[in-house]
Amino acid sequence: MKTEIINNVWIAGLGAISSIGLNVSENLKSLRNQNSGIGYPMFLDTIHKNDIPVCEIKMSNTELEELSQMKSHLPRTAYLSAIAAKEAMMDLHLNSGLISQSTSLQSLLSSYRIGFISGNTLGGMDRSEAFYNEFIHDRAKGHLRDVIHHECGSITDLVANHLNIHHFVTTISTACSSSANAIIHGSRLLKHNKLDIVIVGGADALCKFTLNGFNTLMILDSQPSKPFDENRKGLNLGEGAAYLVLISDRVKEELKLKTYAKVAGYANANDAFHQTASSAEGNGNYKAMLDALTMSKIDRKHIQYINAHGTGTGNNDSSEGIAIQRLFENELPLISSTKANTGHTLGACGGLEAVYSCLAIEHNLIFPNLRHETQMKELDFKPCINLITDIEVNNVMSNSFGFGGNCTSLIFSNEKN
Amino acid sequence: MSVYINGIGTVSSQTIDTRSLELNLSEKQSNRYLCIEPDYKDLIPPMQLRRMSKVIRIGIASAKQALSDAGLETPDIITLGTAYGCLSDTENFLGKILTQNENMLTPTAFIQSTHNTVSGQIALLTQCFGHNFTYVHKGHSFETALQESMMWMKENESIENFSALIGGIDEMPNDTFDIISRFGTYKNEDENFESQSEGTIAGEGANLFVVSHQKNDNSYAKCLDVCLVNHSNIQESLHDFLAQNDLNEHDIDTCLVGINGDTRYDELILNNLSTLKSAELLGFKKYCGEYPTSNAFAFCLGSLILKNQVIPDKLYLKQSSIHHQTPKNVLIYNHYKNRYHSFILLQRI
Repeated sequence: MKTEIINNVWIAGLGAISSIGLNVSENLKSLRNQNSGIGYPMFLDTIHKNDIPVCEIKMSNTELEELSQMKSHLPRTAYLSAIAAKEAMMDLHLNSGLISQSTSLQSLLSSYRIGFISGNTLGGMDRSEAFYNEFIHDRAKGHLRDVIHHECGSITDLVANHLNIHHFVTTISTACSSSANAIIHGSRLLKHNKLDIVIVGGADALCKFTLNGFNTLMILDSQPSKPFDENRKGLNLGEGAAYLVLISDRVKEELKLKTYAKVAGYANANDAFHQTASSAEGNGNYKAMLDALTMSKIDRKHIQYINAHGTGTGNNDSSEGIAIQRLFENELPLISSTKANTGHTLGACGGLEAVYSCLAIEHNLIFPNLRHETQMKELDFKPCINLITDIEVNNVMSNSFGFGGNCTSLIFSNEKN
Repeated sequence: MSVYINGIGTVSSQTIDTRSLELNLSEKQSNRYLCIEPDYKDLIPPMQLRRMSKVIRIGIASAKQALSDAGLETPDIITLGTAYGCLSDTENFLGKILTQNENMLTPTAFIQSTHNTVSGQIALLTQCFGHNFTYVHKGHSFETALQESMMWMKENESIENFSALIGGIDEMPNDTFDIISRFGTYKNEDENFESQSEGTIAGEGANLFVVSHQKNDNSYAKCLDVCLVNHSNIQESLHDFLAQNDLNEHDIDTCLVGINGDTRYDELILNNLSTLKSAELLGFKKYCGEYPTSNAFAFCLGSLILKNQVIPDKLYLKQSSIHHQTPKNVLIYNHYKNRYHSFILLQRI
């Protein structure tokens, strides 16, 4: 007998920053207008600044520091994380029916157990790079302030302090599925009644470490990426942060909250095939999607849209596409990858695409897969290439797959179900 | 919901035989304890071993030991904690980016630098297709993994022998040791754990466990609960935590406490336990060193103490105290730099 599942997990606040927008509404506008953040970097200091395009947020660290209202010399990832998490909290406030009766968000939330769970893959690596540059020549050199936030957990702590959240704080690092897994963990904590409200998502900024790392794997496209295209050449790296505020039934009722959707299903599985490559049949991908669907109790034909992981690499799009086909057979939903817009934001992508999935439900939209020309030979489908507005979107699946065989699938559903 | 500890794998600066009643612990004269690595011959194929950095080697070795100890080939889920992740591969790749000015780089170190490399590799080796998480939250990394496994047990009570592989892993490579030393975290080279000075002793290790909602013939102990303290009043948090588990301060007969030889913290930490009037206080960091997932080493010691019903003399903080012959309720109290306080409750089966 299962003793959990005591309540629903609702989404009552959204926050996002990416190369296509500094907040949720700018991101939505860019998705509608089919904009992409791709271009050569202005702020990332690398020898590849003229040969590897990236999806960079066009703001300096100083500008991000100001926007986030945090102190100076912090890692770029901390600024991005704080900006998006703060927006999600403010959004929760705006969505409350009690807003006029309450003086501040703080007082509104004072009686609740609030958590912050964030995914990232590189902690303060951008600052560590600056530190190491001096340290490798002289072990007494390098500013300690540049390396003090090296750990992934430091970024989460910095932002949790900034948001004044102390009840429960943790960090998940499972490569490109990190923030999707933060959503799973937050949902589980709500279901087990360990928290009332939890801010979940993730962040990652561009840095030399990942740009060069992915470059050695030869999976970066030197042109704008083409997810799910027969002639795709690889991914573009991006940067960003995105968070969702998850709440229990009780909080929804007490704060009279308007919600975007509920987290109807989630699952994490392991492909157990290779450290960096997916199995040809997409076994881990298939299991994650199947388990999430089973948990949601939603019939596969009622999933209107899959926001795919769709990185644009030969391997991912093939494995993911085949796994989707195996699961949905002749009842395929509309499918697109918004990584053609935002680039692959690594530890942030699961959160960012969860926000986009909520927007798809909220506004009844399917976002197009940019730059798609030729259908992949091994797939029976091609992604959705036009913005679709005359559709009712009730259930959305969002996939995130990462190194270490880590596969996550999330299902978001609106209240009508 | 409590879980049973059914298998242990441990690599640390000690050589611990989990099958032996005797716990051989040895003191070191150093400000940095490195792991005594096992003979990998029967654990990892030599070709794979050559490419693996230390944290990957010790993580996989501990995983294999824990699974074999529990008589299990494949766990249902894997959930690990590591504050630092794969530091030596990170240092390696970062160093090359900078010295080679982003030229002529090879991918191996980058591939292995990902924080979930160890949990992913264990999944690969054991063909575990289940849930696979890695928590990287400093001094609470292992505790979060443990807490998560307990929620899984509650969700899967009806599944026979549902088992999770959990643990804490961290390595302390040269660059990291030198950098952290510059923050004044460790004692001087010529000092040891007993030196009355500021700073602690650096450590590293991999302690993994098979936990399940069902016990078996090999079970060591039961873990009742874990608490990631979020309150500045530690004594109050302890009281509430014990009360939630239908216990009070007098029920605790043994407490493994995370004092680390740093004169800035030790007294403070012991003061937080002043309400434990009936407990023997045991120190574990003298034998594993200080690192953010060192609590997994204490979890290993606590499990062995409860199964064997023997407390090694060397662990007692006060040699004069009356030694309990029958430890029943073991509390583990840890912290990292007076932050990330946590409590874990273990009980004799």
